[in-house]
Amino acid sequence: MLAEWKAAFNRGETMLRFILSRLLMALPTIVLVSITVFALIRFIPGDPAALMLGDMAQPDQIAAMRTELGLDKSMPQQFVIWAGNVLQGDFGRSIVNDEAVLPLVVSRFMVSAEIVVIAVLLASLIAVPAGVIAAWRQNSITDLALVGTATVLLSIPTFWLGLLLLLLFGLKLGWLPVLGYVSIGDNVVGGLLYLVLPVMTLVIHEAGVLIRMARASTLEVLRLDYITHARAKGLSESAVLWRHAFKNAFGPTWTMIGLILGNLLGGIAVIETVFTIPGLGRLMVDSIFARDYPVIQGCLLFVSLSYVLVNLVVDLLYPLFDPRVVAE
Amino acid sequence: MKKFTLNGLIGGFLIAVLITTAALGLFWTPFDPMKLSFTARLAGPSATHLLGTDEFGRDVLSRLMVGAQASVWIGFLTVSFATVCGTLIGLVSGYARGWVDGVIMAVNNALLAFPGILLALGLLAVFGANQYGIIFALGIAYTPSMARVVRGAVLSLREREFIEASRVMGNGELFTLFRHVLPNCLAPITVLATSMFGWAILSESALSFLGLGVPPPAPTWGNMLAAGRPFIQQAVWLGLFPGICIALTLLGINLLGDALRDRLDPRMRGLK
Repeated sequence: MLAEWKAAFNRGETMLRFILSRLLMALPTIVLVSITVFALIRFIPGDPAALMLGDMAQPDQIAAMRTELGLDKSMPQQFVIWAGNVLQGDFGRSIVNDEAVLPLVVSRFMVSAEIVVIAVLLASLIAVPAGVIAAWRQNSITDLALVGTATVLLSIPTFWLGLLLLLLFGLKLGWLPVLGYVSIGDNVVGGLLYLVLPVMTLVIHEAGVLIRMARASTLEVLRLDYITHARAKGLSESAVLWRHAFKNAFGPTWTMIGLILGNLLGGIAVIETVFTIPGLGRLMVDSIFARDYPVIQGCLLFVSLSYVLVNLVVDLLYPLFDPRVVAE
Repeated sequence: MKKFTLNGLIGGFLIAVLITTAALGLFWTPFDPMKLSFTARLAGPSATHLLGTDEFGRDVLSRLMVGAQASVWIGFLTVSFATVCGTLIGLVSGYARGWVDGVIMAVNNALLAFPGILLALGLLAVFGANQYGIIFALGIAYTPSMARVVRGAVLSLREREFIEASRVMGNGELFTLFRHVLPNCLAPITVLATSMFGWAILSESALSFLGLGVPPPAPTWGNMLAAGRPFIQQAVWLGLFPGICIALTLLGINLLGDALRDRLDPRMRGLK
C-alpha cells in the first residue's frame, strides 16, 4: 500500500515538474513575441504619429500625438509603458473610430474561433480514422485513394474552394446563405446555416493535411516490435490497430491539430473575405488598409499569444496520449 | 519506389508546365493581357478566347500566362531570400553553439510563434502592400523555419568524424563550415525550399486575393480571382481558371516535395 502511494506521489511530482517546465518554457517566448510585435510597428518608415494623423496634420497635433503615444521617450521606456498597459488589458485605441482595441479584437476573435474550432474538430474526426485506415491498408487501393485525395485536397487553396462551394451551394442550388454572418448565440438555426460553407471549406482543406499526418505516424508505429508481438499473441486486427497502435500514433497528429488550430485562429482572413464574415483576420486586413496601427498591433499580439497558449495546452495534454514525454 | 517515381514525374511535369508557361508569357501571349475590349466583356471560352474574357474584355488565357510569371518570380525570390538567410543563420547558430546559438534560437522561436501568414501580414504593414513588400514579408516569415532545419542538421553533422578530420588537417572554421558542413545540409534544405516555393505561391495568391499583393491591372492569379468574384455567377470561368492554375501548381509542388523527401530524407524512406 505504502509503495503504491509512493509511486503515485512520484508520478504526481514528475507530472507537476513537467507542467512547470512547459509553463516556464512558454514565458520567454511570450516576452520575445511581445518585443517583436512592439518593434514591428516601430519599424514602419516615417513618424507613426504623422502617419496616424494623415497629411493634413499640424505640427502641434503631431507633437501632441507623439506625447500621447509615448514616442518622445526612449525605446526601452516605451516598451515598458506599452507592456504595462497591455498587462492591464489596455491595448490602445483604434485611430479610425477611437474604439478600444482589446474588446474589438476579442469580439472579432470569437467569430473566427467559432468557425475554426468546429472545423478543426470535424476535420480531425474524419481525417484521423481515415489516416489510420490508410496506414493499416498500406499500398492498397484504399491507401492510394485516401493519400491521393488528401494530396489533392491540401493543394486546393481555401479561398478558391470557398468560392466554388459558394457558387454551387449558395448561388446555383440556393441551399445555403451566401454572404454574411449570424451569431449562433442570437439565432441557433440561422447561425448554423451561415457556418456551413466556411466550416466545410476549412474541413475539406485541413482533412487533407491531417490524413497524411495520421497515416505517416501510424505507419511508423505499425513497424514497431510491440505491434508484431500483439499480432503474435492472436489479438484481432481491430484491437491491434485501435487499442495498441492508435494511442501511440496519435501524438504527432495531436501536435499537428494544435498547430492547425493555432494557425487558423489567426489566419482565416481569406475565408472571412470570401464569405464576408466579420472575423479577426478581416479586421487585421482592414486595419492594414486603414493604417490603423494600434489595431494591427493588437491583432498581432492577441493572435500570437493565443497561438502560444494553444500550443502550450496541446503540450500539456500530450502525456494523455504518450506518457513517455513526462519522464523525458 | 514505382509510386514515388510517378509522384515525382507528375509533380515535375506540372512544375515544368508552370515554368514554361511563365517563360512563354515573357515573349508571346495570344492577346495583349492589358488590352481592354468593351465589345468582348465577359465572353465565354471560344475559339478566339480559349479561356474567355474578363469584365473589361481582357483575354483570360493571356492574363493567366502573365500571372504565372508573378507566381514564379515572387516564389523564387521569396524562397531564395529565406534559403540564403535561413541557411546562414542556421549554420552560424548550429556551428557556434553556446550563447550565440541561444540568442539566435530564442529570436528564431519567437518568430516561429507567429501563426502562418500572420507575421507576413504584420510585415506587409511595415513594407507596404506591393510585390517587393510581399517578397520581403514572406521571406522573413519563412526564414526561421529554414534556420531551424539547417541548425538541426549542423548540430548532428559537427560531431561527425569527417568534420573533426577537416579541423585536424588544419582547415579554418569557415572553410570547414562551407566546404564540408554546408554540402551535407543540402538535402533538408532542398526538401524545405521545395515546400516553401508552394507556400510562397499560395501566400502570394492569398495576399493578392485580399488586395494586399501586386496591385491591378497587373495580373496575378490571386487578384484575378478577387476581381472575378463579383461576376462568377454569370462568368464562371473567371472563378474557375485562376483557381485551377493555383491548385495544379500546388499539387505539382506537393508531389515533387513528397518525391524529394522520399529520396533525400532517409528517415522518411519506406514510409510511403
